[in-house]
Amino acid sequence: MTEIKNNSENEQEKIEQEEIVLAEETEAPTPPAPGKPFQLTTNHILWGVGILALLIGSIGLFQRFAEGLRPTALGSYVPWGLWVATYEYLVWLEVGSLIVFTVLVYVFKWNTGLSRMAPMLYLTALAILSMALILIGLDLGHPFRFWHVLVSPQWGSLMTWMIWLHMLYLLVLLAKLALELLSHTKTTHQVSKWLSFLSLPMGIALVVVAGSVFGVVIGRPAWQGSGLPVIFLISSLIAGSGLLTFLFVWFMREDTPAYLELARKLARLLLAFLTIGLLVAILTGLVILYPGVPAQATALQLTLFGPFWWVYWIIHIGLGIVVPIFLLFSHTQRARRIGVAAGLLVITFIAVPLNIVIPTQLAIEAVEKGLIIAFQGPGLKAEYFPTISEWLVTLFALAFGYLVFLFGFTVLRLRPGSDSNLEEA
Amino acid sequence: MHEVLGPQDVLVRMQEELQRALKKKPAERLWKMVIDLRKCVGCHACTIACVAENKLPPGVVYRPVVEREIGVYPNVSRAFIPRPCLQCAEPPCTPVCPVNATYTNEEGVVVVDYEQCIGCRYCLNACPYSARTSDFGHMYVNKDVPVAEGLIVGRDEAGEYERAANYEYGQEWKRSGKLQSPVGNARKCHFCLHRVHAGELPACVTTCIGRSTLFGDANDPDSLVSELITLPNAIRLREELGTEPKVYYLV
Repeated sequence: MTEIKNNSENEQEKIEQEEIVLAEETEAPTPPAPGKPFQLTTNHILWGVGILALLIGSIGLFQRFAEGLRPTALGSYVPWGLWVATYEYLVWLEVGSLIVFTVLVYVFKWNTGLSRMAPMLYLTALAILSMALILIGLDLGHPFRFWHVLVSPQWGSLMTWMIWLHMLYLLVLLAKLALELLSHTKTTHQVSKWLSFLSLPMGIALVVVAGSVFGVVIGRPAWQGSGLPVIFLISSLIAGSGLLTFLFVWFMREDTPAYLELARKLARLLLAFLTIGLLVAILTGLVILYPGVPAQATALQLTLFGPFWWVYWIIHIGLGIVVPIFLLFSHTQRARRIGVAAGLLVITFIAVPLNIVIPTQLAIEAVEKGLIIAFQGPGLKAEYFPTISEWLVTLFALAFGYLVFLFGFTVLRLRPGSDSNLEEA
Repeated sequence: MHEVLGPQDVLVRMQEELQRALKKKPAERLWKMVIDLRKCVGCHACTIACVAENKLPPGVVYRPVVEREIGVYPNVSRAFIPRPCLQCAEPPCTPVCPVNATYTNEEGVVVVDYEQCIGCRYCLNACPYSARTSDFGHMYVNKDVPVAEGLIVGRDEAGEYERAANYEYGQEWKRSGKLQSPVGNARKCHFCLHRVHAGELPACVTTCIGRSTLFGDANDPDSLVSELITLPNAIRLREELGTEPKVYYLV
């Protein structure tokens, strides 16, 4: 009996020690004490990688401001590219994870272990939001005129609604984070809860409006219609639940049955969303491909069989769906496996907005036959592959968001379990 | 009809009609264009005139001439369709602008406010005719162009010409090579409003060697365009969209 107790105590101590080590590893860098030799910690490496990526990305940023959009592969027939697609992807992640989280915690009253993720999840959403806003801002021909949307908006444009909703979403998110940093009282919890409820319709509206920005475009028949707003919402739920699952498995790891059970529940939810998404994608695809009207079908044919077929078949279907489903269905399902599946799905999900945004524009010949050869010049082509400059700017945005996360996590200590009172939620 | 010189050139008639229209208040005139495809020979003079008039940089075009080859060799013919902005009465490109930078002016022409435009390029995708292009700041004269000192085609001289201002919308727009408007903006055909307001026909109209492109005030019942747009062989592109273009084609 004593032996069993000792073993249990030892295990508890071991877990506590591991937690302390993890916390120490992710602390803000402190200057080495005089006379003490410098020791490279995980924390130094994490900050170093982020800063290095930011510096490398800054080359693209410098080019962007010095030469405008000239160094990009964007043109008049393919005016939206990597940055717009990545923006949509980031919006899905940011909004989707919060929608799923809010519904699970506040509506379905899931395990309190999940609610303890709140500070870190809000921080993650803010980091992703910062990446998204940087990218969409730099995609503008005149980034410094961004304020025009705020002072002279045209409410008939869905893009106006998208930008305003995103700004309001940012404010709500900042308010929620501020509440996390304040001392926790019953009032702050109530306010935070109501802000979460407020963010729910706002988030859904943001994603649906972002899809509608494409859906109302009469000039691109492959986008037009009510399909994309729905696909955007489902994609957001898939990407969001994937991110939530990944963060839960990675940051909340415990050697307890409750943890494993919750991870499995999240995995099942992810599978359910994935199944719905696949069904919608297959139905949408068949409806477009069966009649085969070129103005609509060419974009999908390009996605499936065009020069970048591998983005769809290998990255999205293979690594993003088949492998995660295999991992999630595996009998020896373990939390780590669920985490890998969710992580893989989240990373490869970028293929979805890329395939929505780019091939439709490449299919311009199916809509305006002969236009490509009527007048030639830079940007008057049905071609697009991001230039190094575009990749560098994307790297800058991602690195910036990553550093925001690292700052919040290590310096502001917005991390799971930092507030036991949250369990009341 | 002139007794000695024969029938009056339509340019003269359109010029007279233009003067008549300019005496009216702007809101009382409605500019329309008719392109007689039977007379178009595909010379692209209109495209080049437009580029010269508006000093369009590489990658920006207001009036491409789309060519179509019909049939299989040896039974082949070619068709030419000049495609300016169709100045739709129900334009899909203006409601999508998040900042009201593009709108239909009182004369029925869809214009762009370069200082207001943020360069989101939403209007480019929204136009069902792909009639808008974006100015990405490309220059014809760059460091690859030889200096060729003293020659008109040298880098300095050609560059000076390229940097000279254009006068779209009646304003001076210098092209200094910096990222100032119209660089970064959506650009489109505006029926050469700056010329029209000065009493001149659009550049594409005056340069059309076949007198295929015709222009005038559709609110004037005696104008040439008013006569032509009621003909049974006058069509508009993609009528089914309900965009009500103000550019008609005679087929």
